[in-house]
Amino acid sequence: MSDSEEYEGSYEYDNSDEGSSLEFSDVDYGDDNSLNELEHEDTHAKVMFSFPTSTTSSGIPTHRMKYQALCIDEIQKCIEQKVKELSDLLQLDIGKCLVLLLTYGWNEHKLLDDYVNCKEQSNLLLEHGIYDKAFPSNLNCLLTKETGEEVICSICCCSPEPSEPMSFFSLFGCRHKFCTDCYSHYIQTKNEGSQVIIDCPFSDPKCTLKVTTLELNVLSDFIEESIKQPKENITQAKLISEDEIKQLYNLSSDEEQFDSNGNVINQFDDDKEENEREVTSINDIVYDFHKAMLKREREELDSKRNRTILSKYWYNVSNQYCMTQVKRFKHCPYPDCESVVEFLGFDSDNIASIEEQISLLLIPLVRCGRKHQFCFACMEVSHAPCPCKVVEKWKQKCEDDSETLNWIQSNTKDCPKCHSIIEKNGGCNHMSCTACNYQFCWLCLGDWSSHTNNYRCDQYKGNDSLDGDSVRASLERYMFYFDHFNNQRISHDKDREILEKFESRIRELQIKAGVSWIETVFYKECVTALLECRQILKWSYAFLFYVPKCRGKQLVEAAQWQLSDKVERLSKLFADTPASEVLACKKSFLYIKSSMIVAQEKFLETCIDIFADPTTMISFKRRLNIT
Amino acid sequence: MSRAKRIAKELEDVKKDRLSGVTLEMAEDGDLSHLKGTFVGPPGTPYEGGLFEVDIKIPEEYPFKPPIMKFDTRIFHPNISSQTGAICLDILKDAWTPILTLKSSLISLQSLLQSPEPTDPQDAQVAKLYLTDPKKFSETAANWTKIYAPNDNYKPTGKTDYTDFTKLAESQQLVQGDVDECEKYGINKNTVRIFEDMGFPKDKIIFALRKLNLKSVRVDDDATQQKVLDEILS
Repeated sequence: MSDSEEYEGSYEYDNSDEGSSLEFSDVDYGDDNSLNELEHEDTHAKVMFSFPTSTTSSGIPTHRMKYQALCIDEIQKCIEQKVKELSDLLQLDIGKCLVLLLTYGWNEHKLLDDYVNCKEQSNLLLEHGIYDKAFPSNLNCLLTKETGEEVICSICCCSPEPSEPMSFFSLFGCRHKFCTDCYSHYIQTKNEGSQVIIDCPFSDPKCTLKVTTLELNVLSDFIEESIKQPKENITQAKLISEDEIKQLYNLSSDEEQFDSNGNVINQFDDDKEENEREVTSINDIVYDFHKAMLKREREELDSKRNRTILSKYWYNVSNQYCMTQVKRFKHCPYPDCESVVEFLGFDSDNIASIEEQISLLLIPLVRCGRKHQFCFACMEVSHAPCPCKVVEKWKQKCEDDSETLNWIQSNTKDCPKCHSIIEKNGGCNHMSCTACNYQFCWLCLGDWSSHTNNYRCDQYKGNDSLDGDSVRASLERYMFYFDHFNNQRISHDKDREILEKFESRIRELQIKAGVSWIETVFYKECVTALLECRQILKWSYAFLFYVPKCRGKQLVEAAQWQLSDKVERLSKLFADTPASEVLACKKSFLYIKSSMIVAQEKFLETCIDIFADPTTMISFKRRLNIT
Repeated sequence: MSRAKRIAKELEDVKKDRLSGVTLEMAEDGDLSHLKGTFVGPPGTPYEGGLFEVDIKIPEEYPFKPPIMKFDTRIFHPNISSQTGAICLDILKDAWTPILTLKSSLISLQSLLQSPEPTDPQDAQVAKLYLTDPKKFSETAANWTKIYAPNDNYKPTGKTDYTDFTKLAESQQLVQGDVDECEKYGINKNTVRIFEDMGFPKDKIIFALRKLNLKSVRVDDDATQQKVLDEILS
């Protein structure tokens, strides 16, 4: 029971995420808040599993992997905590500890070793670009106002005007002052290059002092103070983006509402007018709107990231942290998704590594914070029930065989007697096999001697006489599975295309009907479930292609048929329900969906159960050339 | 506009300073984003007596992004392409900081001529000659200087002598020979670092890797790493 709740949990998590997407401007990046949020996050962290249950219903262990779906901000919290611990231990400022960890490539042990064993700790710190004094309580001393004309910023070559003092910035303990504009521009350039270890710009001789988060904080605050205007603009843009939704749907604009926000509105109005000119059908508007939504979401996220140089810096640090621990953290491979999945071990003591899990033909399937499912081992989009090895082999086979196959299919036939593949090299239908010298008719594949003078090729009995060893038979077998695989792929893509359009349509209806968006969540859930089951069905054909004949195979096929039936029923319901009636049909959607999920779980279980028989496992592995 | 101001100031500074032997001018009048710089070949090298012209393109983000420099004058040097004039110098790439100037970059180029970095070559063939036959390299470089970089203002102070330069090349040859074990066996430096971070000496690591016939080990490949550890400890 608890396991199914886990699944539900991951859905809930996503919903809350979506709901909060309009609250970005409230997020604070100050160091003070981070601690409170940390505690808050810890209670939120949810351990998830790569399989719903620890054993199948017939008792076969699934050796599931434990993981946690995180977003970049959570990674940041995790780093902040790590740094905080180190800072308590070494009695050093947080910013300095972060720089130390970065220069040591997150190797805490080596860092502590060096720190404890070195004779002069201040030398070690200096070596890593850290000034060995605690930060003064008044951090504003890093910012100075300069007046005299003899002061010059050696980056932009500007000096303060006599009437107007210029602000200069320097790292703590550093003699090199540059104007705040140049300094922040310098850090921005480094940020864009995703550089996390940033030196003081001075180079003659090289100044090795590193920029720390505390200094970035001071600089960020200063910049934000001096340009308050853009910050207001962000909230304005948000207001309008919400109202713009309504505008688009009602296709009537009440501009009076926005009189106070002159510039921004005009810009949006222009956009809208353009859309109206180009777009003809309501469907296209909706689809464009869907795309625009995604784009806007992306842009909002970016603008939140780039809001201050400090937040961008933290973003880079978090990414770098994940990159240096490729075994533990993996980025979701879906386009435009920034979620991260953290590996937390296994809930079974029998295996210790992902490699071991894969060798048992199990799949470490994970779901990122935005619900995207992918394989933690090969980073492919979910390919259950196929083990990674099958995916690899299958893809290779598809690539290798498709062209040969086409040619063989269209240009050759098998000798009816010895099953050699024969290419017709002349116009005459009287064939003689070069291998076994059998004489036969190209059209009916019958014995040539039974042909009388006139051609009457009505003796065709089908090719059921072919036995399993012939090349064509194996090709045909492959063709069968490939066809079904491909069909499911096409269905999957088509379903996705249509349903994504539909989804925005449903939102439109929800707004018109005046019900809460929660009422429409079921629709999205059904779409996701359907697409996932199609994905499973697709890969099931590749899986069955490699599964040897055995009793288990029949069970898998039966379960596959069950699942396929449910999938088609749900797909039909989607196709038959007009958008206006979707909300009314909620119950039937949910009913079919839940029976489909049951079938899906059953199917995946049988796919694992099949390997409980060691002989099946061995011959399956042999087919894949693995030991 | 700080960029224009800064470039203008740099041009002025170079004009004032006649001692450095560096010049800097606009390629076309009024265009601050395309400049031409020159400097004289450093004495005691095969480049002595030459005048080298460098094409300088200034990006929009200057001085936060480095200027894009390439030699207009053909030159025979391990870190400069003998065909295109492209330059391999750290300060023109990652090591650039906004405090550096066009003048200091040109002076860095000058000192690059004085002390080539054959381990990080731009022109592999030239670098190979530099390491294998320094004498011949120096002769060729001097010839190229005479042909492609004639300097009318150059007054020789005596016979050009670049034996020191050739000696430097010979010493680099030696250093190369015994220091870079990794390169010698084609072993990935980062791989060695993984084990160095664990506290093992470099020679032992390389020995173990060679014994196992491994050139590199992926950071996340625990199984192989364990094998290497076993080998090191055995």
